[in-house]
Amino acid sequence: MKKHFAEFIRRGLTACGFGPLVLAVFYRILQLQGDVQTLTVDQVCVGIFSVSALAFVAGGMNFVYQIERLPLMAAILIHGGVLYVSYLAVYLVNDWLEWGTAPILVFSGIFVIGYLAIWAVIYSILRRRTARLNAILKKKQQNAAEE
Amino acid sequence: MKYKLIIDRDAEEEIVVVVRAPSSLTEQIENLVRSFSGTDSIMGYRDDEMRKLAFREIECITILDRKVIAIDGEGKQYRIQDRLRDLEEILPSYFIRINKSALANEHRIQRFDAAFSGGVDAVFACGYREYVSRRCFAEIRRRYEGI
Repeated sequence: MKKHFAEFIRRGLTACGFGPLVLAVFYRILQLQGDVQTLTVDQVCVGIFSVSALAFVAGGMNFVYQIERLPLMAAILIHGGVLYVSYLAVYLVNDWLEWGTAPILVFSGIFVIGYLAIWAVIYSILRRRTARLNAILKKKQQNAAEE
Repeated sequence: MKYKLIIDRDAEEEIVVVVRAPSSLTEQIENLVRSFSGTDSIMGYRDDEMRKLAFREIECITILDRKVIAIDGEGKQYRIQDRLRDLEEILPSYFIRINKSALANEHRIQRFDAAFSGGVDAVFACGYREYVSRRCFAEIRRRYEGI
């Protein structure tokens, strides 16, 4: 447990430096689209702190994939759940998402669909790899039996 | 392929095989050397029974309840007194690591099973299943597919 926590901190600290960089790119895109022209000191500070925290959590949570015994689906669900809460909190704190049931439901729907799509791709890749490995294994065992 | 025999009364006896890749020939040589030098088996303990287990009849060696256990073709479990790390050094090359606490006889793996959870299990001829860690799965793919 201690090892996993240390790994979370290490990965989080490595990733959190990218937070302000992502924020700058985000605001630049909003400016180019004409959605944001000026920012208050408060908006900048909240943005930097929250996105750094988000990057810390998003980066740190990758440690779940290092837990050998944890099935991939469980790792993805834990990772996805934490990311969902973190993203939602950051979007709401920065007013990038309106408070209310409808916007949150739309956000949640997009998030879930995205995750399911990723999972479907991962699972089909895993099945294909396993089938290929089984074919090689069978061939190897047949060769060994013949010799 | 060349064959070279060096007779030197003062040298320590050893058989060195230089090949581009392991094959059934190298495996046969390995088995022959092990059987000649008496290192082709380990002692297994089960209740009051003590049995010499030939490597080829062991399907899987794993850790259950902090004990090193060898499982034979009939699914019988034998306690082994050596540590897994030490066994890895003496076992023939057809034993592959499938997770941090299990070694599998690749001749006795019936198939690899991809579970919907994203995990992969190795299913042995006796019906015993053991999970394959993601790291070891990648290693097995590299070994089999040469990727």
